[in-house]
Amino acid sequence: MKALGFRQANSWLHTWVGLLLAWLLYSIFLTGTLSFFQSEITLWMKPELHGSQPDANTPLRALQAMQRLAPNAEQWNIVLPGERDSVIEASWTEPGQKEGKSLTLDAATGEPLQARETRGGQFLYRFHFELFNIPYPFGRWIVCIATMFMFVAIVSGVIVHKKIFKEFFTFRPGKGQRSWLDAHNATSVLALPFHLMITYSGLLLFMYMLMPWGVESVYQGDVRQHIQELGLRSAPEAKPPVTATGVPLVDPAPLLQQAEQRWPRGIARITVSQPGTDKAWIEFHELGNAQLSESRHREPLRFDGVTGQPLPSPPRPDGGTSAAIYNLLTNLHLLRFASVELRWCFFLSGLLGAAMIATGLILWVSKRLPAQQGHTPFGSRLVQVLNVGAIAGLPIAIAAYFWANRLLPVAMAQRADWEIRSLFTAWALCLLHPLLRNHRRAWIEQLTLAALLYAGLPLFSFALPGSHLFATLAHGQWLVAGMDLTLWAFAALFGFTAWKLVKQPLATQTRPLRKVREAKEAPV
Amino acid sequence: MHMPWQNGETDKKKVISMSIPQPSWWERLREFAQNSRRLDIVARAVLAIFGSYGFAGLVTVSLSWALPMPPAQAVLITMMLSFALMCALAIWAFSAASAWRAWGVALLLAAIPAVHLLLKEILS
Repeated sequence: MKALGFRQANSWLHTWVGLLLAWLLYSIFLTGTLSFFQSEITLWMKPELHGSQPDANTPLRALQAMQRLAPNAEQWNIVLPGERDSVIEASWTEPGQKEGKSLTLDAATGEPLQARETRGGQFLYRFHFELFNIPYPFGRWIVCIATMFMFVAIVSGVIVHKKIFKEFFTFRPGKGQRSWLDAHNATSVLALPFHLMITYSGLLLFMYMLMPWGVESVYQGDVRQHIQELGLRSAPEAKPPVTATGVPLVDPAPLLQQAEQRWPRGIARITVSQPGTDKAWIEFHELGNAQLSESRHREPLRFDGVTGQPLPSPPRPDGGTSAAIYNLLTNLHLLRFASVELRWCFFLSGLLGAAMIATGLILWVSKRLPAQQGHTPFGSRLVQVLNVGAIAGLPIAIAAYFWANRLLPVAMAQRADWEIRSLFTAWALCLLHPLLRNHRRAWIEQLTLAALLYAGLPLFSFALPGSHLFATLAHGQWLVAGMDLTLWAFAALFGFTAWKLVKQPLATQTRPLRKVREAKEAPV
Repeated sequence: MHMPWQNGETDKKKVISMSIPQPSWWERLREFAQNSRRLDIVARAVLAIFGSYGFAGLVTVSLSWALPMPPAQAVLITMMLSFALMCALAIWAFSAASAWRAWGVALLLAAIPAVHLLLKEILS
């Protein structure tokens, strides 16, 4: 067999390794990108929580509320409203019970809030790394294999390019296949460091599942021991035995003041261990303070729960440079400790990544248009149908998920499951629809539908008091307003694309090769 | 000189095939192994998917013991590098001039950690 050159062989590899799992990878990439804002999406999907307005007294109010709700708990965990949430999330464990309890509290009143049952943004997050309804651990293995394919596709893609910097600035619109190639190159190269990082760190997050042989050999399979030695996760702290109960908790106000003076950004979390006993302690964690190379927030403030005296926190083992690298990469992937600006940057990069996969798929189809034969071979038709159903279909399915969240009755049984069913039903319909329409029609119809669905969602919010744009903008509730505005931005994007497709003159769609046409016209 | 086709055979095709030397079975097998595109791709794919995983696993275990740092860190860093190794081997599987060469070099490289682990077993 004639040997191909290095770049040629990698071009072949890139096409096939890219194509085989492209639709799955697009779904993973898109839902993963949305997961960067999973807290905000969950908040948007619970309109009952939109009225909660945090203020300066929220931490004190939260502690007082816990005193009412769970005076005899073993541990209180209070997550205060911050940059990504406007309600108090309280959870606690009762002594002797394994399952913890949790409640959402209003930040202004401290009263429990009852939100509609929904999986929210967390469904998208879990889907993106373990898919849905696939028995453990097969979903994760499928996603990890796809991730490896993606990594090989990216590396082979880089090998294929001769002039990677020139391609940064090359975009020739309106030239059919060449334009799609330029779009594919541009979306890949513009965010290349992001794509490499997110793919490789995705593998790292599952490395104990994928490559456990080192731990098996050196630690005889004791993963927990390995993790603790590295300081990646702290060993659960042993609770000292209680000698006296009914001891009132120290007034937290001066402690809160100390913490707030020290940390201008505010307090993120409060943990109280064994409240109402003599062994109680209160710990505060700073909002946003953490180094990317760490796995936890640095230097929490801990006070004795009875006297209010400062206590030292338990020491953490040092994992060295390798643990720092692991933490850095995984924290980047999970976007832990990230500021709002960085979150948006990553969100846009993620959308570029999804666009990279989409343009690659469309490029593959455009290279094989049925110009010569007049009919489409089975493989090309399959890719065409899957393209529309996945690239336009998944956004439609997610819009259906959001619409189900708005339309399904609040008190409905198994509401969260029905929302998820709506998503998959819509997706299935989007995969069947292109079978019945020609390629161009299918694209236009699905993109138009997506535009309408996304445009309608913020408009429907006017039926929900306190959740619509006028209310949220007036109260500075940017977490909800931002979501509504982003939905409209997506609607505009889909609408614009559909409009461009409608406007595109039919002559430039199928591009018969000039030689073939001349050969047919020449006298034989 | 008596030629095979002078046995009175009149069928033209049979006469021609009798006069061209037929390849033996092992020559036919070698031709198939070296020239079949499908076999080539399958062989490379097997190497890229399963061979790379095996190779990365071997190197992970071998380096976890061999690296001169605290065992926790050695295990961690080899786990993290293993995926890059898998990718490199997958790229090699398809970039090599032939599937034979791809497999040959991969097996040679895999022999290093394999021998290291074997010696470790024997000497401990």
